[in-house]
Amino acid sequence: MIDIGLLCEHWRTKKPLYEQLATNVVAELGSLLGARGVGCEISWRVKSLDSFLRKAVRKQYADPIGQTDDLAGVRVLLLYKTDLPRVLECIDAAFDVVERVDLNDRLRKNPIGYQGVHRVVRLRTSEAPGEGNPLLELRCEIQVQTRAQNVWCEAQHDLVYHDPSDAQIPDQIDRANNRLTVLMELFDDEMCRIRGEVLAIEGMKEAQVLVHLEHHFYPLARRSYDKGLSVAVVRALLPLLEGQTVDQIGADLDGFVSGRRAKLEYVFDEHRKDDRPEVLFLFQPEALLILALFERDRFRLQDVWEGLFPREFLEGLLNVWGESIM
Amino acid sequence: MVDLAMLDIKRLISHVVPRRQPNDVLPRLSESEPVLDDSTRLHIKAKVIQTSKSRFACNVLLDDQSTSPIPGFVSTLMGTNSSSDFVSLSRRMAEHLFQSQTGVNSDGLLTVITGDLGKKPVVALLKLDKEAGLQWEEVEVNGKHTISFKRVDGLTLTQTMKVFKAAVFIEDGVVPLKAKGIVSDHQRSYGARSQVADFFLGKFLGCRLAEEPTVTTRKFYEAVEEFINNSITDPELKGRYQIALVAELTSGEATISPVDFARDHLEVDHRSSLVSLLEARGIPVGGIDKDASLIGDRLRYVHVGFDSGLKVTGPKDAFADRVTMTEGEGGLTRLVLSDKLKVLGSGR
Repeated sequence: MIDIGLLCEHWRTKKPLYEQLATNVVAELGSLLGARGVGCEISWRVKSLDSFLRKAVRKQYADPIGQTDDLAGVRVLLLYKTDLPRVLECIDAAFDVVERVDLNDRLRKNPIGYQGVHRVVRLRTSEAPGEGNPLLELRCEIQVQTRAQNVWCEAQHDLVYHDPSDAQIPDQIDRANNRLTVLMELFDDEMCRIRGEVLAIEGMKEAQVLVHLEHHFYPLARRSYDKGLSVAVVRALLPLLEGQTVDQIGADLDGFVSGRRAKLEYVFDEHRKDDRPEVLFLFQPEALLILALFERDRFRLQDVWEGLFPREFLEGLLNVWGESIM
Repeated sequence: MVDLAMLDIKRLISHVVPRRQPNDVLPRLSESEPVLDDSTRLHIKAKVIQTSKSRFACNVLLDDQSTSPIPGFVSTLMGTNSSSDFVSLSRRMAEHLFQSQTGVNSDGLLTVITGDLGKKPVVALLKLDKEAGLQWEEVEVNGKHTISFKRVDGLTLTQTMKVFKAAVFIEDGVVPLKAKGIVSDHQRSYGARSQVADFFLGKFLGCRLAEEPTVTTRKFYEAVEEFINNSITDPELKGRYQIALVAELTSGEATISPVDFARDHLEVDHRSSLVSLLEARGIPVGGIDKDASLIGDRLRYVHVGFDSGLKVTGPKDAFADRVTMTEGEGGLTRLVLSDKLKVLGSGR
């Protein structure tokens, strides 16, 4: 029989620790994924008390505290499902993985279905659980999904009025659910395919340059950005790169970033919580291109910029770099 | 010039330093450091960077011959982490500023900042002016939406407001008094050697320029001339740039901004190359104090020499008015001189 008092006591006393655990996992994972250039959103939550109790009742847990792995939950939302292997490598590298749930494995029997991946992890340490840091005893569930998979999951929560293991579900409902699942998979597959084709198109130079920029931007910024703005700015600056192939531009950017890595890391760290409007462009990937172009030819950069965008934004970006429009 | 992108501001304090008047209103000195939020700290840092890059900024050293107490205060501040020392020394700096000023100098705040750049201590002094402005607010009057204004007197460091006088010192074990700095003073444009212009740098801060303006000006002149001769092939552009260089150095402006010179006088393809050359030669590109004493003679005349041994020499104004040079066929230069012939002779 579930001891509600015990569960409530556990939740209340451990909640601050679960919050700390989740934020630690997010910080560690964010840093690793950023370094690997994976574009994603990472969020966390601690399960609410009523959600904890409801799940314990629904699942008829004999040991709700021991069997509930997602009191601390972290969700990684990917743009492209092709990034999944890198995410899993980062999780394996950063944490002690207690349990692996690959829902792909279930699909061998039913080829259509949710392909999400979950990992239950503990913080990695050489200290034995129970000694020293209380966070080490706690588990955190990391869900890795694409955006489409996330929408599908949210929809399933609203649609499920039955036990999913019930073999007597009418065929038409089953087929309808399968169609939703297929749509989800198609969406993800098409996202990856379109991205690949866009990048391969002759003339989509700004997209190709942006991919190079993203590769350096994500490890530094560790956040998403306004892609439409980036495309507009890169397109405006491309005339300053006339005569250079995308590979040459990429090589120049690689050289710029590697030669100034310590300074870039300092600047991005210092301004991570800076909400002043004038540093808006620092957390856009084109910031790296703008700074590189400023070093190469500040006059042309300024001429192009001031014809199209507010001067204050260029000055703000240059200031954080230790420079100024003279 | 120093890269201040990695400057970490740790402490800041400000004191009110009024204008000297017959009925002396004394400085109102702060007694403790204020709480410094991140947004304010980053805003002020941006202003320090802008100031250090202005055309009125120059490299300086603390002058061990100066009677100003500031060099000693800077040195002490660089060696202490004590809040009470910081407050006490900043107050003495504000008192010294007040004593150094005359009725000509405006009132404002003296803001003292300490921090570090890498592992090196930094001390900065900013003299801040204050402005009045209007703050607007959306309100409801009699149930109707409108905009109301309220006058605000104590505005400083707004988005467009420049810091007219500032100094940033960084520890440097090699130089005298172990600190080098950047000083920016907009009043230097009114005459590099006037008492007014020298008040902030010399009398208040106790600093001297790291390099004599005569030397820096000559370096600038020689570097630009070298650029014109070696990097510019179009004879018309060569002539135009040379005349612009001479005009820049003989104008009444007390400072030269190499970046502005490049922007105003060079074709867009040449600007960046000139600035890169100047930076490679250690010549500040934001601004330099002008003193053409060492090159005065060279500025009076323009010389053009040709492979054949032919030479044309003349006063710069006459050159500008009467000589044109264009590119001819086969890499030759056509020079056209229009003037009344005065004398024709032979001999060396």
